[in-house]
Amino acid sequence: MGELLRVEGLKVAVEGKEILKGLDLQINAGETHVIMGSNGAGKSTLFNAVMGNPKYVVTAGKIYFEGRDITEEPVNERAKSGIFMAFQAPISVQGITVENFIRNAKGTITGQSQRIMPFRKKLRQQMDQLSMDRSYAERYVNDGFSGGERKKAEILQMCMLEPKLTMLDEIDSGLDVDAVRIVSETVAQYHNETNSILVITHHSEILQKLKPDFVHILINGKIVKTGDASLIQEIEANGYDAFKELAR
Amino acid sequence: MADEKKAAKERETIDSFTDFGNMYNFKKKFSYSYKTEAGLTPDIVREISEKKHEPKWMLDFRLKSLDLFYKIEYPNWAPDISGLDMDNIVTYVRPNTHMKASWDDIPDDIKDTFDRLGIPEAEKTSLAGVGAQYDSEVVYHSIQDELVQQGVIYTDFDSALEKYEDIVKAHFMKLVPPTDHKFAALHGAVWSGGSYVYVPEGVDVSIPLQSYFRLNAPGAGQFEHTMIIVEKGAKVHFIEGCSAPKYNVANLHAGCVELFIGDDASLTYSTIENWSKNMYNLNTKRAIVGKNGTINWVTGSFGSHTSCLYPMSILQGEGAHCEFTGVTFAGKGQYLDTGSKVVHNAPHTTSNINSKSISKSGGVCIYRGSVIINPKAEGAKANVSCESLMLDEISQSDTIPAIIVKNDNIDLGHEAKIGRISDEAVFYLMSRGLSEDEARAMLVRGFVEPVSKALPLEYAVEMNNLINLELKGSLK
Amino acid sequence: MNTVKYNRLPRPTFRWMKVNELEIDSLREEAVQGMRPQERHEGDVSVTFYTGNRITDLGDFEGANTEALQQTLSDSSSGCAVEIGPHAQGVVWLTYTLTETAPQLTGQLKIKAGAGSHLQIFLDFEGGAEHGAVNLLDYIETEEQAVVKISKVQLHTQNVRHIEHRYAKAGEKSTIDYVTAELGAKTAIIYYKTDLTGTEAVFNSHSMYLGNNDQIFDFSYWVPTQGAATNTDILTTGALLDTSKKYFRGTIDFLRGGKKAVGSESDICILLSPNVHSISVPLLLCKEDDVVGNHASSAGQIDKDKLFYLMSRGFNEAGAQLIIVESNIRPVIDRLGDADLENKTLQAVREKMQFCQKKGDCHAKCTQRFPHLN
Repeated sequence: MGELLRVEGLKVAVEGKEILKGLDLQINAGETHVIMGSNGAGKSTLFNAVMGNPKYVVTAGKIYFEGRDITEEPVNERAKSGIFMAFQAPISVQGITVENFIRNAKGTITGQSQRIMPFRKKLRQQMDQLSMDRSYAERYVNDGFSGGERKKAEILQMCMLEPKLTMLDEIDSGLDVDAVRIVSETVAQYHNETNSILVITHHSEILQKLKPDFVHILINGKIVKTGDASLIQEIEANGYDAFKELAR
Repeated sequence: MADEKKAAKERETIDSFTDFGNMYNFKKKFSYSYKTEAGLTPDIVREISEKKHEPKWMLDFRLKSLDLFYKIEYPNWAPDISGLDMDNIVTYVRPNTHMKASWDDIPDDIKDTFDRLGIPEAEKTSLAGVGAQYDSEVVYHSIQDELVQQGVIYTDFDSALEKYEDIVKAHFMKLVPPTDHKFAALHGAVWSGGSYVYVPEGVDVSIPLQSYFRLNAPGAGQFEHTMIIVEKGAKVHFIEGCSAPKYNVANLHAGCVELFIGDDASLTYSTIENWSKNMYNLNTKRAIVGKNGTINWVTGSFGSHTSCLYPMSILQGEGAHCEFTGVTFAGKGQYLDTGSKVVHNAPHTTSNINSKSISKSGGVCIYRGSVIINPKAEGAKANVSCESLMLDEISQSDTIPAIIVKNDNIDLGHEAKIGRISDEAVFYLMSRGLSEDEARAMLVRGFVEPVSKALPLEYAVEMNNLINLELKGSLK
Repeated sequence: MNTVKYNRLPRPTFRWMKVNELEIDSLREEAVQGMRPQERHEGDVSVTFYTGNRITDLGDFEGANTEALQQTLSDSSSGCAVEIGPHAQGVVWLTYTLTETAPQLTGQLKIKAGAGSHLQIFLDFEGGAEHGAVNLLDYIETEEQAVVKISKVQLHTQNVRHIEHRYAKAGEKSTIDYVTAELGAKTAIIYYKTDLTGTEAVFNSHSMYLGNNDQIFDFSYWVPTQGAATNTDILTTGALLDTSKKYFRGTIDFLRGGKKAVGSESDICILLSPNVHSISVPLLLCKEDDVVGNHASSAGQIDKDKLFYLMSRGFNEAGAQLIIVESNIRPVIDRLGDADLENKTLQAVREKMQFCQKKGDCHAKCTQRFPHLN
């Protein structure tokens, strides 16, 4: 399996404060990884740094995607190479419909303009699968959407943009049981041996469907332990306290 | 420091966008059959009236208006118009043709102008009637036979004055009297050209009518008069387009639009204004609306050096409604003072004003509005929303609304926002693969969407093209 | 009779609307007598009284009207200087009372707050007389990280013209906080200009009014934001009865260079009688892109659903109206920060509401009817 993402000695600061303090991580095609850790440990910071949010300043270390150093690349170039982040709190975009937005994004990422009818057909299929009312395609991006609708709209974008690496930042927060099931099934179905999933979550429900290959525990800006899915039960039972010593 | 660099970079990106208007900025050799001397004297006014073979009351009206023009002061709040030297504005230019009903009969250079603006093409596909004015006179007018049979009149204003003198006399400058302000007085004195629309009771003109105004002569003024009378229960959509090539001398546009909307009638008045950036656009538009009637203004202001334009709606009949949707985009060297005025004079009248502005490269956008709810307007509802977008820190955006409420049984809401494109929104779009320019262009387009949505498709496309030209780096 | 103009907008608009300034009859001037406010203070603060002019650094401040402002500079008979040193804390109470023997007041109030100090000033205006008038100039200067809060209650009788010109210069990270309750006077003219010159300077102004008879309230605010990351919050809220009038003129002036400034202004008016006038001219002027400016204004009758809900709980209409009006202005009153002043203001509100709704109903009865409002 080919290497997709490699993070080496990554240090990241936000507004002058160091959050990630030397983080290493490798994700190969076809794998599913989970990052766990208490609030403020740096999970979202890692995602934003990989995606290339300019507010998150890389002070040391490198980020490689498919072997290419992307540390200095702007966010849209990373999106074009196949990195996707489902935001924890997606913003709304007045005046731009969901369909128009995704079609434009898809056209930009693939470099090929998307013909309306085939695109719409696929969009509708995906919306049906996500139990999203089709009328959402005509609504402005996330405008007036509930928390759950926003999350589904993020997954809809993932399905349509077909990234190689998908980062899900608490995609399950604010979702009811049915929605968690639908979202995790959709992600699981999308997942195959050529793409990878990286998940941040505080809940284990979503992981039952996603079947992680690796679980990383992030404490105080560093990955302190990596294991298989059994680590999840360990955390559920004992919390993060047991791992805090590893961070010293 | 980092912030400063970033700001400088942003400005550079935005500055590098081409100055839009190239597609409108083609000049035709200035040829004409008759023009007045520059400047403004009673003799010039007499000359215009005589050339047009007008009735005496009109000449008297012109002379009285000219007198008012001399007397009325230019307002203290309004933009600087010192670049406009009235002694050098040519008030009347008759193009080298008389009005025709077929494009084939129009001289090639004039026809070529309108071809390039896409007017004959649009006429074939999406318009029920077309008027085209070149400098001071209308050169082309047509209307579908079907509408004529239903009694709809759509003609140039000179013909209207000749054929329907009584009705014109009864309405002409009654809504916008020459005493209104200095440039209304000027209009009264030197008006020429324009369109006249009459829609009889109950007739629904489902396809839009369009008049296009092209000012080709350098240093000239355009003073067209548009009058639309929509009788009880009738419905019509009128589109007005304006453009001119850019010259180094100031041009002046002081048109006047008077709209009479009957009970249960409805008029949509759409404008895409793209005058060249040497234009002083001091235009006056006003509508009076009867019981349960509707005036719907849709306006996109992109051109002009200086604009003063505040379409006014007088809601005179019970339940009359006004909808105003406007976007103003000011770039380098532009000072666009625009807005909307509404007067609620009857019970249960409603108004909804939605204004957006974008300022960039040192451009100045001013929203200036007024809402007045008079004592009789019980149960009136008014809503005003103004949003201003600043694309850099060298531009300017001011919001100057004034609201007067004189009775208690009303519901009024007003909201205004000023800010720039949020970094979060740009990042979000870029995380989906768009470049920064594309992301910004998309957000700007989203910002003006309420206006493009209100326009017929072709005009929405035209407006989007204008924005894309303005913000190079549009979506592929 | 001659007229005089007050509270001109920093950027005028359409002349025909007659909103660019307040034009009213000029005032008959009485002989101005020296008047010393009742004063007490706590904490480490110095309060001195003076005659003549001690305010020299007004820059281009024009006041509500240049002549009236000039008068406070040349004819002040009641000067009061409040000074507080660095990092000190203090509270000052000043009560100005107009009487038949001292019907007009022309005065100054000069406030200087040292770095890191915390100063609270309570201003209480009361009494009145035929041709009564107050013409007061306040000048406030704050050094770094100082906090100056001025809570004002104005309860003059309705034969007074009350003019207050208030000019403040806010230094770095300092806070200027105004709470204003305007209930009295025939005409109350408020002109507050605050220059946010320092980085991260903060200006808050919360005002309430309740008009009846033919009272006029004219609130004018002008806040140029020059320093970076300044914060401005202006709220004016109230209700109008009879033929009273309210003008709101708020201008947040985002100057070039004042990056990251945040400013919002809102103007809320409940209309309780058919012949009231509510005029609102909220300006946002902006020459800087990296700012956030917001304005909201609303005017209307009492919300019918709310009224219905309250009446379904047994209140009569007048009682329900009072509750709604009070819930609207109470947040401002509660910010005054002095129990006596708050109580005095609330009582005045109830008297006014009662007077209007049911002539003759006494205040005692009213409070009895809404015991929970106490």
